[in-house]
Amino acid sequence: MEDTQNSAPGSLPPSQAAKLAPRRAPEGQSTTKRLQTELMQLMCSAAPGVSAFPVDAGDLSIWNATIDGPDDTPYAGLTFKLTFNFPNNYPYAAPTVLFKTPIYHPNVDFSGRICLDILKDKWTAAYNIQTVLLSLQSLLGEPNNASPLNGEAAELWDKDPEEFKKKVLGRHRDVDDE
Amino acid sequence: MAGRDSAKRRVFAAVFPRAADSSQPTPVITPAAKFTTPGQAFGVLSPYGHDQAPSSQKSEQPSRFADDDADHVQQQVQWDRSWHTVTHFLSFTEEQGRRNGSSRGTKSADAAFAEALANVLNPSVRLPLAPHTEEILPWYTQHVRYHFLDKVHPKFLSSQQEQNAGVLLSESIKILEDAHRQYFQGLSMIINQIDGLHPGLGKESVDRFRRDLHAIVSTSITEEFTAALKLVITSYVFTYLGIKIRKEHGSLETTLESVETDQSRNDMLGLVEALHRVDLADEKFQVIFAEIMKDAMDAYVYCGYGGVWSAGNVSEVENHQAAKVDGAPEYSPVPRTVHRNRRSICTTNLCEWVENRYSRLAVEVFDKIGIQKVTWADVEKWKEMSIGRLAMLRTNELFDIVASWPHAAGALEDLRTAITSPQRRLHLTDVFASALKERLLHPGASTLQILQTYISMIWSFHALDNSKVLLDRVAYPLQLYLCSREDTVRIIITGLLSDTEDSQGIPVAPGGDKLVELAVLLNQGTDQLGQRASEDELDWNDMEWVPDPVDAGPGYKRSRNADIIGTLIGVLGSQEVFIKEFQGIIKVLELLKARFGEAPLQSCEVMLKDIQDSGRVDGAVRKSQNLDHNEGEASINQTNLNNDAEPALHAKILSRLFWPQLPDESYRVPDEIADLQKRYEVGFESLKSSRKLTWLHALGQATVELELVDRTIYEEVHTWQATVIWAFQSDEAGDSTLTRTIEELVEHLEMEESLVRSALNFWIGKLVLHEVEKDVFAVLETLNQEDRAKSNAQAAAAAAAAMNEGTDETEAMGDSDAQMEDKMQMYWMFIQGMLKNSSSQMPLQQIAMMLKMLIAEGFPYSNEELQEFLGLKVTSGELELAAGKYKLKK
Repeated sequence: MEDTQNSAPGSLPPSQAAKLAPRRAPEGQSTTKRLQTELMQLMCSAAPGVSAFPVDAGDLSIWNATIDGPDDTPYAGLTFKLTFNFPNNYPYAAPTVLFKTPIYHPNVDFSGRICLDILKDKWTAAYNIQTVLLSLQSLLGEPNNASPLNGEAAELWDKDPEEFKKKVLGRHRDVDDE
Repeated sequence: MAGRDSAKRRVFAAVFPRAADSSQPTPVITPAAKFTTPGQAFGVLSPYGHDQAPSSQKSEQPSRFADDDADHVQQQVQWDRSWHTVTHFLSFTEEQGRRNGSSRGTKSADAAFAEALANVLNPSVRLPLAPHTEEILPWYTQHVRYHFLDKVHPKFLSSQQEQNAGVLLSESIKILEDAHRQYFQGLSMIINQIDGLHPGLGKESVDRFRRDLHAIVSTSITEEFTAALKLVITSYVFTYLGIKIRKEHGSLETTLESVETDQSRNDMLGLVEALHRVDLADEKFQVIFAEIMKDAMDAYVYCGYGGVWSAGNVSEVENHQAAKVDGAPEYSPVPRTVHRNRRSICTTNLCEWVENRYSRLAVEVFDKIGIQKVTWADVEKWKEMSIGRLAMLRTNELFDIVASWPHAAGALEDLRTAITSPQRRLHLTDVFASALKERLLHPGASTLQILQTYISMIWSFHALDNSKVLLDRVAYPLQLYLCSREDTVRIIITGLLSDTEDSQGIPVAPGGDKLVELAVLLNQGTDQLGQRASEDELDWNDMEWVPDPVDAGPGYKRSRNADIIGTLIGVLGSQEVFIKEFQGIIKVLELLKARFGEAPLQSCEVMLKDIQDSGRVDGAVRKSQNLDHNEGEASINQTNLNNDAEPALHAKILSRLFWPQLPDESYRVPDEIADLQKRYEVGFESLKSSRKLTWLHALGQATVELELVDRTIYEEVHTWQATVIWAFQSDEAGDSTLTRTIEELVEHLEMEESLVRSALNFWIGKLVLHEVEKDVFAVLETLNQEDRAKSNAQAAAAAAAAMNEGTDETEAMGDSDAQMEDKMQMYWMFIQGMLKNSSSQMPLQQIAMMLKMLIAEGFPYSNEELQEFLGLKVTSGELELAAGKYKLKK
């Protein structure tokens, strides 16, 4: 458990991902279709505080997403950018999700990698972009301090919320493409 | 005179013996010349005439020789004299008449000749001492040769000047025959003797003589003779075989056996016999005969069967044939190598002809010539040849046969019977393909024509070869060509949709400007489907089963039915093209579904089923909710719309997913209608659990009955128009001054203003309402002169307004489209998502492109419209535009 938690989020070997998911779906066509459907759903029934969109209309495998920091958390008022990278057997394998915006958080390391079980071994095809975004949004308010990537943050979260908030604000800066 | 001439000649001949001369009284060498008597030529014993010489020799010889030589000399002389007698007797003179026939002289002369001949033939026994003897047969042969070349040949040549082939031939043959008789008469005398002496030797000698003579005669045959022979035999053979050349048309026809044919057969056989007698029935003749027979077969097949395609013509022949074989056990003259399961009349006929007439002639001629017998195998071979010819003929005619489908069934049957080998099949397709290319696939042929030909082709080739292999081979270029014609699909569709019967119910004859055949096929086409179903596996009960043709390509799939429509449509690419064309057309749908399978037409199918089911469900719901017979209740009696009963409510129930999005307006329906709807809903939901009914208010039809003071109006109107007029119903009877403003109506009915206006305009046009003042309307209860005029004017104005503003009913609905609003909202979400995540600022072009690519159902607006929309958002402060790029306002 510890090992997988500590491993870099993006480094989940594709073979393992493939093993986790039944291998029945051919890549390409159905993945694109699924992503299109998800986009449509996302647009038609947007959840507050989260949004996502493909970077390039021609290639649906890379998306950018935005999460607004929830109120009543140290992240309130901040927005965070993320990237989604969909493997070509998506949704049978989890997308690779990274924070673009530097974030000070117990379960996110300094290069933006996230420790979240549903992005690893708990992934199922029933999850989608929106659920992932909402999970991440709730993770901001309720970090899993039992398996931190950022030990200091985990410690401060409990001991010194003031200091934590300061660190959060100190670390946050808006990334804007180009 | 004659005596002197001949004397001179004899003197000359004595010194220079002329080979051609007939008579050689003594051997070339002097018999026993120890010396010659003075005055005699050396080496030639007697230059004297036939009559004197023997007597003078007789008188001289005894005194000339010594005793010991006397026997030799005696015998030699005797031999010489015998030789002379024989040669003299055998030689042919100018005056043949005298020596001809049996009156060849006196009995004593014959006896003397016989004696002399015996001496000449058998010198070793009869004159053993004569030292110099010769063979008579070589001499005779030589003599005949001289005579032929000298006398007969010139005569023969002169006879060749004759123009008439028949006369020429008979003359020539007569000359030759005479010569032959003469030669063989002489020969026979010798042979008689030889046979007496050496039995068996004679035949050999005769053969040798015959061979020599034949060599002489055959070299002297002229081209004219050969030509004449050919001509005459051809005429005999053709007449006998029933091939008649008609001078006036230059055409040919075949005839049955008759006296005339028998006559020519006899003539022919007589001629052959005569030729055989003069030894001219040799190889050359046989070659000529063979050529003529071949020509005869060609002519018979080409002329007898060319263009004879119809089964009707043939059936008559069949009758004739049936009459002939009547009583005899079933016998088919067709060779075993051809298909016999369905016999073709032409082939049967042809084979019969070959067997009964052609072969008979050949057999008889061969019999006369005396060469080998015609065997049954030969006859079979001839039959096959004739069928081959027929196949060739039909192959060349095939294009026309196809074009005249279905009237050329007989010809197809012939082809089917005859086309048995892969070579012939290949030839057939090659020939047909080239004919097709030359005659049909050019810009001069209309697409309709090509399609008609194609249909005929499918039929014909199916009749010809139900394995479809042949068709596939020839159809490809046609298909390719059809694809290049733009109007192909349209013509097929028109054909499919055309009426198969005219207004009087009389079937429309094909061949007009539409492919009526297709419609006919489509309408009767169910039987073909059953076959298709059983195609997949072998039918073990099929006694007609044959293996796939040897020339079938890989991936060949047997299909037994001539599926015209399937083939046609399969050709032109996808079925979708057609399905698209057909989606609205209910009449054809069922039939097409049967043809294309269920899946592609599913949504059409559901739509249709909805409409069908609606009737039933409607009935059931109405019954269950007691909506049908409720006149008695009459709870809503005060309305103008329904005096006697509550309005009858019928619904069409559509499955939402399968129907295109229907525009709808929501408004408040009249209470009584809403009540009915509610009851209907309940009824429906109890009938179909877990289904929900959503009303599309604006899409209905209502029958409105308006009772005005001075008139009653019935109108079939849209529900929203009915709703608007409902709003004008008087709450209290007799209140004629009821007015409604547009504002009131919009509020009261919860209806879009444009729709309200549209409905008001409609009713003004019907002279039911009038606009009392601006935006205030009242019911026009009575039509007095003034009102009439007023409302007339308003009606005109309303019509004009409707025209000018283009606010006719549908557009009124289209304009205020809620669904459109929804759509725009969704697009706005896209744009927001885009600007938030992909790139914080984007130019119009990029946004438009992203929307177009990402929205699965397509983004229907132009860049200008999008720009307008974005402009609205900029004004409302949600967007900002900087340096041509849009950006979300923070």
